[in-house]
Amino acid sequence: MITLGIIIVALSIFEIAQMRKKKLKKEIVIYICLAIISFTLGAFYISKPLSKSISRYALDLLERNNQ
Amino acid sequence: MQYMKGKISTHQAILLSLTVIMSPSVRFIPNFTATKAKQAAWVSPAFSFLIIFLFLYVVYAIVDKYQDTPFSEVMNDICGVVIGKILLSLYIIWLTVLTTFYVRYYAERLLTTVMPYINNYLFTVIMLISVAIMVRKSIVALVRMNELMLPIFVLVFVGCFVFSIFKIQVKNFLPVSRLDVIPISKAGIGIVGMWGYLPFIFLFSGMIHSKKDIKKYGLKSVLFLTSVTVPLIAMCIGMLGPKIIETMPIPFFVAVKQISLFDTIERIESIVVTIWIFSDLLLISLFISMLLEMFKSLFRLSDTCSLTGIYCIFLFFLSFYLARDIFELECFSSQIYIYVNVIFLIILPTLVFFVGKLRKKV
Repeated sequence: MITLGIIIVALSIFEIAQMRKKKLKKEIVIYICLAIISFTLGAFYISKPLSKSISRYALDLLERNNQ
Repeated sequence: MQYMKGKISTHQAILLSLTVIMSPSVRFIPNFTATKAKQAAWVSPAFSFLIIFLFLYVVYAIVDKYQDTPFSEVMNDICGVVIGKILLSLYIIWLTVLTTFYVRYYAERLLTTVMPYINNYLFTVIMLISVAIMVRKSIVALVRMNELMLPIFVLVFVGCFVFSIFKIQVKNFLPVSRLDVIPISKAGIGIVGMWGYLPFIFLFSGMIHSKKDIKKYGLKSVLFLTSVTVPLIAMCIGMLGPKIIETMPIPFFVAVKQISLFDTIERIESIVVTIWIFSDLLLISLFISMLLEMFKSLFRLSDTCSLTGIYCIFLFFLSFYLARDIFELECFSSQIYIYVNVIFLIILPTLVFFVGKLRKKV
């Protein structure tokens, strides 16, 4: 998880610096949102790699509707 | 041929669509059509041809009126800004899951075919880094390279088909009767879910200039798809039989593995795997660049290049959340996602077109 954090922070520093140079304010907000979502998703996956998948949820829902 | 910086011509876009459709079709179509239509599966592309042929007229009408404007803007104009933005958000969610799906399938397919003892994280990371570089530096170069590569791919496919003719058993894809009409149409829907990428790329991509030329190439490309898909299904069913194909994850790969010409030309499956990887690279790069364009349109951004890297990280983790193994992926693909594809690729644009007709905007 620490590695993931370092990768995301390093990439964010590099990209945000470039976006600031170009004065892209909205893009920076979207970027930060995406970075937070990616980190959360990654942290969840690293802590519980064998949790139920999206496909499983969707297939279970389909089975329940068919019954 | 006319070249514009950062843009591709309609002809190049058609070739790009054909390469993009190749990888998912080879994986999905033989298996799905054999499950739905059994021995009559090879007739199902005719049904899909009809649907796509009719849908092309919707595309022609939209392109006629709106020229090179991306469909995200067209939706805003026809349905109003609020509904347009809602539809665009749905498209973003769908395309994100679809891209994730292909990222995961690319890794799983390499695992199941050629490199079973390697961690699939490695494949995914390599693919996403290549895609991130490609999208940042503009995928136009890759699209132009595709112009040279596609004829080679077609040649390889024709070669595979010709070499396999001796092993095809006609009894495997006969008889076909009127009782097969409904199974054929069910199988055809699956093919529509794949071929629909062709008009979709046209409607949504902002990098194509002179979209009007689709009138020249649209029908020809769908005819080409039909003429390639029929032998693809016939080859798999003819060599292996529909019952065996139903249980196989990638029947085309197994069929190609069986090709042996005078015991000298063998193991051509490695060429097929190379083609898949190139096709997947193009497909994922194109979908990510289209996603970034959709973001641009949704949030009124001026430059989305910087979002590529972080979006690839997001896709990496989402791809592992999407399914735990290839069996879940296959079930998800054939039971859910192919129908969702048809809704987003064909039904929604058609609805928008009819709303446009009612409001006299198209």
